Amino acid sequence: MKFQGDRFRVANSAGANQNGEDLACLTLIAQGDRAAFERLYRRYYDRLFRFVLRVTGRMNIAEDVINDTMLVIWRKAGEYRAAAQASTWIFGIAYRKALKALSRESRVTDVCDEIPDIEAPPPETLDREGLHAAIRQAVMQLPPEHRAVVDLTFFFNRSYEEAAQILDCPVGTVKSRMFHARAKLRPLLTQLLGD
Amino acid sequence: MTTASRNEVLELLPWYENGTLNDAENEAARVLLSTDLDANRQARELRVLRAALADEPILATNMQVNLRRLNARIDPPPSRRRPWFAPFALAAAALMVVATGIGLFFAGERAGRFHTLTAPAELPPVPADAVLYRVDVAAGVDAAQLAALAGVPGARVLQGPSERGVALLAVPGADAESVLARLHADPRLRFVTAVAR
Repeated sequence: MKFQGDRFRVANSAGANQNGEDLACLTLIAQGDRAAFERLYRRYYDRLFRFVLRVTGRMNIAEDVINDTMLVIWRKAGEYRAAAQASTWIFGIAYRKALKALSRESRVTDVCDEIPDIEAPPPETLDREGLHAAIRQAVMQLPPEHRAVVDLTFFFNRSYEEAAQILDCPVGTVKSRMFHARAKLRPLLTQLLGD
Repeated sequence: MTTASRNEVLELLPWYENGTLNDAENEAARVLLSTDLDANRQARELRVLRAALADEPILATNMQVNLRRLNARIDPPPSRRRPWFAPFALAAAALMVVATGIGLFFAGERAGRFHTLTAPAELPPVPADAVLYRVDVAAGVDAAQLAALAGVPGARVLQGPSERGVALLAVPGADAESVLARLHADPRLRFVTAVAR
């Protein structure tokens, strides 16, 4: 079975509206409109903060990465081409900036096998909140590239094609990263679910 | 469904759970889930994972402060910017300094040599046997009086007296000793010394 055919999906109306507003903002920003820039900044700040924090795992880096990202948008809004959604372009910039910031801090762990096995707390001691917190903690022990795929998929509801565009890698790499992330999380999830 | 195609569909389960698969992929996942227990278990794990991530508390961050920092990066303080003509002004100033230096150098050349009491300007011709005395006379003594003070016919004032009373006196060599004694004895002369020629 192959799924390499037409990947076009019709965006829902909320998503289309948001993309329309983003495009309008980017057009104005390209003309030097600071009010439009601040509007876009406010719209994206929380989302980018969440995403960058997930990728870097570092609160002190996140704010700088967001500003580095938005500075690129301010300077290069005119270069944006609507081949991808505006949010995909913006998240892509944020991802690259986040990895660069991490590498500056020399704390990137690139290979999944270098991550120690994730130990689960006893399931009987956890309520729902505790269970979710344990899972989130386990996700944070994955490599940044894998965390990004997991977060884009499960928090930002991105398709694998959009994730590939954001992470600037082939679709196969996105699926592979998701496969490895799931494999790493499976013992914990299985144990927590009591299977 | 072959093992290979089953694995392909299992790979797609995360995106089945977030609802972003296309129709064909969605249908394939639905069919697999209707018959495959292990696929159902994996889907359940993914739902828990998704719920855990969605359930994450929203972090409070100070967006306004961060935006101000970014605005400062976009608009650096104007005082730090050099005006466009700054390099030209700097070059002009340097040129003026050099030109002034060159001008002063050549102006000094035109003014001639610098003279001191021990290196006086050129003197009028004097007899070869004449002796020169540098004298410091009291205020009010002029050249004629000074020549008279020497008390010998050949004595001649070559320079001065200046405003400060300095003068150069030439006397015949034969009378040099007697003139020197006479000058030392006169109270109107404060200082007398022979000058090399």
